[in-house]
Amino acid sequence: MNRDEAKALLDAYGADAEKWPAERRQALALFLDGDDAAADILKEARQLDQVLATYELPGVDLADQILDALPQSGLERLLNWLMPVPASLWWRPAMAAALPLAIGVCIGALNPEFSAYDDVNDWASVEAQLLSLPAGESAGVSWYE
Amino acid sequence: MQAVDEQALVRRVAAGDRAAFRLLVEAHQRALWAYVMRMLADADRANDIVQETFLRFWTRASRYDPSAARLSTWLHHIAHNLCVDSFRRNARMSYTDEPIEAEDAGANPETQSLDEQLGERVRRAVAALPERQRSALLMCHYQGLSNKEAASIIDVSVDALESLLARARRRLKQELSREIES
Repeated sequence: MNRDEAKALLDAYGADAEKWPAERRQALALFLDGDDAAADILKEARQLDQVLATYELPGVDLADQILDALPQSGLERLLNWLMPVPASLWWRPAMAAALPLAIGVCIGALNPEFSAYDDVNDWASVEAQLLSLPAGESAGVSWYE
Repeated sequence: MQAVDEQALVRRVAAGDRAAFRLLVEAHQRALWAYVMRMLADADRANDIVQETFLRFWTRASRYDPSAARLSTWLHHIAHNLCVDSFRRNARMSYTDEPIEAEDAGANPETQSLDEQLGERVRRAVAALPERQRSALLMCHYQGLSNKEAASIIDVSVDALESLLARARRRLKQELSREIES
């Protein structure tokens, strides 16, 4: 490495060896150790680095904002539709727990096989059949004996 | 965060794991925000771009190839492209080597310490750099990216990147000569 190459590297990357290109770091360090004139170039680069280091920024925490902005799954959209966010948070778990019951009621109402009226109709037909039979025929005995 | 842990977290993110996503957001948000903030000098736009960067990460995590780039580099690449898009949308800025006027963030010198005043002057000098020089300087000096990573993101050769860096530092040396001497 010669002085021009060393100056070009320091001009680009500054005085911090960690910022130098890995493949040229050792050669540059060796050159700077053995070249007194290079000390001035290194000093200039270090002064600029020190001034640049004063440009600091405050910390930020955007995690909640970013998580809130994520697209929702179908189930989350359904839950949010059923239990809108402005609702009190404490009763949301209760609403969620009641959701299977509500789904069960809906299924029962929509499916005729589970209709409670079937049982009622069955009882009514059995009763009508019993009443239409002659006394004692239904069970082989007369009820009034 | 260890690279192996990070890869495992990225796989979980690709499967829709929000807890893993939060861990990666918390690990990378500050560095990304610092890059975008120094690029744009506008906190609201920086917040929006960092948020959009992570939303893109969420939807594209399955495409991340750890053998091609570190996660940090990949996220910087997304954020950088969004910054360039933002420059292009903004009529008074363009992503060229032409300088722009530094924005005044409303800092009041009377209430600032000497360090803060110096930091403010550096902020203005960095903001006044042409965008490509600023990108190169921020990535290599402030963000800790390697020259190859930065060159890949800016889409230039390593030689061209070194030219951008040297021009940026030369310009800053002129702009901040009083601060450097004192």
